[in-house]
Amino acid sequence: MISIDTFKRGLKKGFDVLILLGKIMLPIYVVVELLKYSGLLETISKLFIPFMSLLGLPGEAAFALIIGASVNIYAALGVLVSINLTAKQATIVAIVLSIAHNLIGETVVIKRIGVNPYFITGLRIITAFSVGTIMNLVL
Amino acid sequence: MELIIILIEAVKNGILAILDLAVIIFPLMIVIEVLKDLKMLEKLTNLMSPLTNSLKIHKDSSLPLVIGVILGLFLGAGVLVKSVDEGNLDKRSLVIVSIFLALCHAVFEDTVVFVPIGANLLIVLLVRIISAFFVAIVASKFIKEMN
Repeated sequence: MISIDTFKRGLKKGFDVLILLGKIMLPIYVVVELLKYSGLLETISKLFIPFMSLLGLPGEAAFALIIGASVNIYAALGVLVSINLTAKQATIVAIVLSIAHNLIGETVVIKRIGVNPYFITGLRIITAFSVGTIMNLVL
Repeated sequence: MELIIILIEAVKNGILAILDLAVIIFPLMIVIEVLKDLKMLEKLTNLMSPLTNSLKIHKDSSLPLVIGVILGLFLGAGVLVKSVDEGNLDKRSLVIVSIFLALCHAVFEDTVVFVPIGANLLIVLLVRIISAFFVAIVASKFIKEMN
């Protein structure tokens, strides 16, 4: 049955989870923000331009994918709206980003759960790229 | 000087994001406790049993899976950590749930954001869910008992 104890437990667990997530979120915000302003992401994205043809995307999409992978989907959208994409390209870029985004922040969360974060992050990148390539052939 | 402004901005955004999360976390954890005491979580567990059975993971994985898939990885992870603390989840289930959730979480929010670029939302959603399921099934085949 529900008692006052139910709510006390809920509040206590809410507080525990908030502390847990807060402690990881704050450093993530700082690191990601610094990375965004460092210009490093532009440099990295240049290396990925040749691979964009596998996904059927224009070269500019590389920067959107890299910024999405390291910051988040919203940051990637800021880049994407300035690129002309066909409906097929928009769907492919959305699939790739929906699978692999905010990798720095979400990797720290995975590490906190106690699972190997490099394994999970590698899996996300490989899955996103493979599925994107398949969709380029299928759609 | 610019660096300091960026740092202050980052810390401010981080605190705002944590506050945003707090608004969801407290009601969520209270609702979970209420559902537990009403024995309603078992119904959810039964509802999710096709997924947990096919992935061969502990049935208590249902709650973190549902929370993560709907509300996002951070909250799913929070519930996951609580389940592990309470000793309900084995390591193997934890790894497989993490794989599924890392690929597929916050499915509504992460899909709707692509409206501005004109993506086909149904395809995005379905392909993401199917991919996550496929990878998790493969992982489930390969990952044997863990300690």
